[in-house]
Amino acid sequence: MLDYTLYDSPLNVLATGEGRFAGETFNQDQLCYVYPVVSPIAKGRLLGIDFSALEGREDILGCYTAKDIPGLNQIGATNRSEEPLMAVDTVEYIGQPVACVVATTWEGAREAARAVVVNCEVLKAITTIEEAIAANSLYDEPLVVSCGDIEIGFEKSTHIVEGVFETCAQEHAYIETNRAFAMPGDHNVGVKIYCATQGISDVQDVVSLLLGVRNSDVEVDVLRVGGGFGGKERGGTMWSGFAALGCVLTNKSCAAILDREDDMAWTGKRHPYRFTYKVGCDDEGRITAFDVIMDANGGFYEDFTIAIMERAMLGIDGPYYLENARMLGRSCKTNLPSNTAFRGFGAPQATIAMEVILSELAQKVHKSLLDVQRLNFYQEGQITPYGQPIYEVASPALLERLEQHVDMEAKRAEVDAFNATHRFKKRGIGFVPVKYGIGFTATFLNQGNALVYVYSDGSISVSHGGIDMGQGLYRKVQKIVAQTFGVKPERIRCESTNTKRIGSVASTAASTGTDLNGYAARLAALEIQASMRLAAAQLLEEQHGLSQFPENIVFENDMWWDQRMKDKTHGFGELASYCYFHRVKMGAQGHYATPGLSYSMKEGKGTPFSYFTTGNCLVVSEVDTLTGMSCLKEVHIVHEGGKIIDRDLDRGQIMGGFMQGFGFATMEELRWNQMGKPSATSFSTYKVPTISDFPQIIDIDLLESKNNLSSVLGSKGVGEPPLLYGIAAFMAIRDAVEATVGHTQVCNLQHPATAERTLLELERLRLHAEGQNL
Amino acid sequence: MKKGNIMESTEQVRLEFLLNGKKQSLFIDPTLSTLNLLKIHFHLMGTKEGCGEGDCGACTVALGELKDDSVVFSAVASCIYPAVKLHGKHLVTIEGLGSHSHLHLIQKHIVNSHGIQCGFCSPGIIMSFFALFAMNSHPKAEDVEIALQGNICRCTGYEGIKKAGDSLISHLATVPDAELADAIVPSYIATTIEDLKSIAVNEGIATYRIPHTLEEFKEATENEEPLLMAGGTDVRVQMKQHKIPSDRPIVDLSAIDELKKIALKDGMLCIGSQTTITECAKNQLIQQYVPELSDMARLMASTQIRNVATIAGNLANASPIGDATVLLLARNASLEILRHASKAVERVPLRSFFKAYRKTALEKNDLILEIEIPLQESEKSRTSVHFEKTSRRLDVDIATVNSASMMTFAGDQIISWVVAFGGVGPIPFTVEIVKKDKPLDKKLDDTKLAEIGRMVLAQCSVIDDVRGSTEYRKALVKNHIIKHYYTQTMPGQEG
Repeated sequence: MLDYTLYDSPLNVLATGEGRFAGETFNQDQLCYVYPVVSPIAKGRLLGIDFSALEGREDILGCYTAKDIPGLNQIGATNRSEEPLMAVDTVEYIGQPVACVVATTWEGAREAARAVVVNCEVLKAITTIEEAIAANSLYDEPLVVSCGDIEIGFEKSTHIVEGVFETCAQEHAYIETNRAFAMPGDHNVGVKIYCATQGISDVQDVVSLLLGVRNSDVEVDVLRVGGGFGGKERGGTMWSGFAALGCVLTNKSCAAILDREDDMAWTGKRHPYRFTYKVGCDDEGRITAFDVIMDANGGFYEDFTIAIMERAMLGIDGPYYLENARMLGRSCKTNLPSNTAFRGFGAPQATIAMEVILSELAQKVHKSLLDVQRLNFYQEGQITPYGQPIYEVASPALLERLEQHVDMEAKRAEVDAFNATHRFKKRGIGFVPVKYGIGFTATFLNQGNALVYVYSDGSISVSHGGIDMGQGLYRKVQKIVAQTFGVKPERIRCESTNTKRIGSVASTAASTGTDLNGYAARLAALEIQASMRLAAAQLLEEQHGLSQFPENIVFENDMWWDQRMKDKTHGFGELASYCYFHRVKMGAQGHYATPGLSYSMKEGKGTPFSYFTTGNCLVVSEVDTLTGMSCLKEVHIVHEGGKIIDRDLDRGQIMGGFMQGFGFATMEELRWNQMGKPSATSFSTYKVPTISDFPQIIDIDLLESKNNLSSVLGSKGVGEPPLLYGIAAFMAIRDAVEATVGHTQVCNLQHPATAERTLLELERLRLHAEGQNL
Repeated sequence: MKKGNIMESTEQVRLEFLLNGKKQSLFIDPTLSTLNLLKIHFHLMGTKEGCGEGDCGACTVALGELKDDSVVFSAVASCIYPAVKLHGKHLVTIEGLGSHSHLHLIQKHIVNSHGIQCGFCSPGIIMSFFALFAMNSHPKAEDVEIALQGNICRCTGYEGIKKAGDSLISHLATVPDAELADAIVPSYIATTIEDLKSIAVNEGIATYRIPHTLEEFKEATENEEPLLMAGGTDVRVQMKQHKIPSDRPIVDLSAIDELKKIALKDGMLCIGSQTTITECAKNQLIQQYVPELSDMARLMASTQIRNVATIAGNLANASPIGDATVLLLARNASLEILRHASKAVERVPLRSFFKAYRKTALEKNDLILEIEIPLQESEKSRTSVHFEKTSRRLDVDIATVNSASMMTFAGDQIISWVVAFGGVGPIPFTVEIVKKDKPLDKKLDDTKLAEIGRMVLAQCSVIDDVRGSTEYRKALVKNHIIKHYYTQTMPGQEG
């Protein structure tokens, strides 16, 4: 009897430390270690690299610069040629690799890389959005998405709010830092790479360019990743590039493992955004005109900056209808590490700005924010600014559902009563409704590949292009394939994600992991099942003389039978064996391309999303008005998740997304000074939530949708949308701050709502109120 | 422990310890971390490195130490725990607990509660649970939170981890007492006390000396200027950041048992300099006489760090923001220092210990022997001490501003009020708000409190750094005065 425990409960190997992450199968003391030598300045002319400090060191195997690269020095994410692996002539951000050192130990390599002297002529760096706009340092022409006529909209407006709102960078803080391990490929041709990446094909392509070999000569294998959150979407390419280069130049297995400090200092973050807005509404608070300029700080290379800008522009409406709108998006090129994908991909920035705008409108019309939010919800048949109609209006019903959990009026009264009796503690309520479009806005990425084999003993192997980085993708795909075959999940082994089995796929991103890979695996399984069905009918005819009627075969619970002979059930393994001896096809490659998608970036119109994931979140926070520190009291979330494939996994995504969004909204803060130096490069200065921040009351309602989506088994992507729920914590703190002045003044709390910002805003409001009283 | 021979001739130091129940004996480089020992010497890959600085908990392992003939387990961060310190101890790692087909009880509950996503932090989380439950089979929910506060999980949002704690607590409540020990520390990893006792004392090597008595300490520091290291939680981080050369000779103070005593002496509570913060927090004398020191412990670093770090280290490190520092300043503590130059023991009031940024009254090879806290007992007056810490995050964070206030009341009057602040200037500073000869009425209004705040601010120059702007720190100084005042004069109504 086989021990299926492993496949039945994939978490077991993670609980015991047996589960292997990238490179852990290597004998660590036989590896060589490559470490990049980086630019110490944000912008300059590269004058020379002085390796003399390493002379005579026996532990150093080699020092390499761009000229040692056998192929092309190109690793750009969207456009390969824009970014070099190692800079030549000029350096563009602190931490940009200019050379690398290979040594026999990791400590030795890192220390040696730091001992190398990089001589530069310092040039003036651009680090902020303001500087970039002034110098017209943009990647491309600004993007525009618009609808209606804002001039007419403003004419109809009875109230107008104008202002600027900025959001701060966020560090991914995956616990496994970036790493890659390269060994010579089979027959000593090319390389084999084990790495922490969200996309095997990008790594394969970049490494083959660097080495000057074919894609087919680079094998990339990923079993699991210790957290990605977007930071390893393209992040894997650079470190795999170094490991591969070290491997071919020294002909030894080579590892590139980033130290936490370097990972934080040198890699991109969530883009800081600046929103300059002018928004009008009518007397009731209905938005009549919406004019927003969105500026993103992209760092030096485009990376995904423009794609993220696109999603920010397509996501700022959220669940609210904008009749007349104009969004202008400018992607700024600055001397910082390329800011990159991060769970939410522009939507968190846009959502927080939208909610702040709405709360200002609410104050203008003397209504509660909730009333104004409700008033602006999309209605059936309305069209988004980019022209995609909303067929499924979810927000009002989801709000009603939330009200079954929380009586909003009573909650407000309870908070008011608390505030009336507490001088130095104030509570606030934040409510954020979410509508999140699922899909890559770049249509071509919406495709998935899978390879499925049924073996002659009835066991099943599934490979697909998706990466499991904690979200449980392998588990979901396993369940989809099991359901398709009508077998138990433990019959199915999810293989590592490997370029030898899966070619040319998109990174696991944009909440599409299950949609694309799960569907591809289902298509492959369906194809195999069709041939097995024919074989089954043939088997029944041979054994029982039953006339062949394949449509009558039912596969369920590891068994199959003909509906005309229900008492005669057969095992799945028996059929698999029969198929082999009768030369039936039992392997298939599945390819899925999400139908109906098209989007033109130039026109800002199209159907970029296959559907929307929706939900809402209500948070009660408590602020200490003497220190500005706050804590979560209550969190209520209603999340609508399509047909739910795995409730535990989806709940895990919702809770984890919420806490990451809560960190983004409140305590996580990272800035660069004028020299392009980051303010925090360790967990002692960059603070992410701990278990102590977990709310006292947590209430998650994960709803099955009633409608039938065309997605795989009717499920919905869940990875990113819940991060937006965390923004309710920002709104709750904002509300608590306003409570100190009886909600009479506009709170100007900036993002993130750290204790410092909160206290300084409290002090500002207090002084303002005192001034008025004098 | 038997007496062993000092190995002067080699650069490798002898290490004998138990690893997951099995005795191991080898020679290692004294700079090797426990985490690298596991990876490189034993090829155990289950323990993960998340930050290398003891800030994330991914590398947590459990350390069993012989104390009064029983084994005490504690969680430590293996990335900054020198492997040489494992000598004579029992190291339990994730590999010791269970395998995928035979899960340990804690692993079962974590899996069933869905407390794992990517799994990179999970071994550390499970080891934190193990150290907690090994010492306390019936913890409260708050104990779980404190045990796990030093373990960052970026995926789960902690729900499944919290649930695992709850379900373990309710499960263990149903386990008969006789079976409890085995449920958590199964026989295959139970420490053999005889094995531990049979390990000979390790005196280290020239570059890493491990004195066991003050006499040996004097000998070890006679002619050199080694780095004196207690828990090493800061030294190891500074070495990694190349702020301290990794080849600098070290004298490890943590084996000097005579510096680990906590006792009452001449109206003072004396804390030996090598007592860890955890030991202080759990000590009955401290809980009785200086309860705020025990209460504040959860706000100081994380469980993994507190289990290794010492209060004397917190002081000697001269951080302008030490949490214990401000409390001891308010309490007017003194230090007993063994002077290297004169060989004499000198008592130095803590209030004159800090000289400049990261500079103290300690000279070359001086050793803090103990911390002495005067106990104020009077029938006529009542004394209250309150600690306040403002940081970006609730737990496991360095304060932006911290302060401790000691107030003495007689009737309706405050007869003395001292507040010590950290994080305001380059060194911690103490301000006497109410002097003995000028008592103050207990009832103070907002105007008076604001005036006191301005008076305090006038006495310091406020710094500006990543943890807070000058403007913010100034506001905090004023507000901490208000917080102390309300907490200490109207307990329970400070909100």
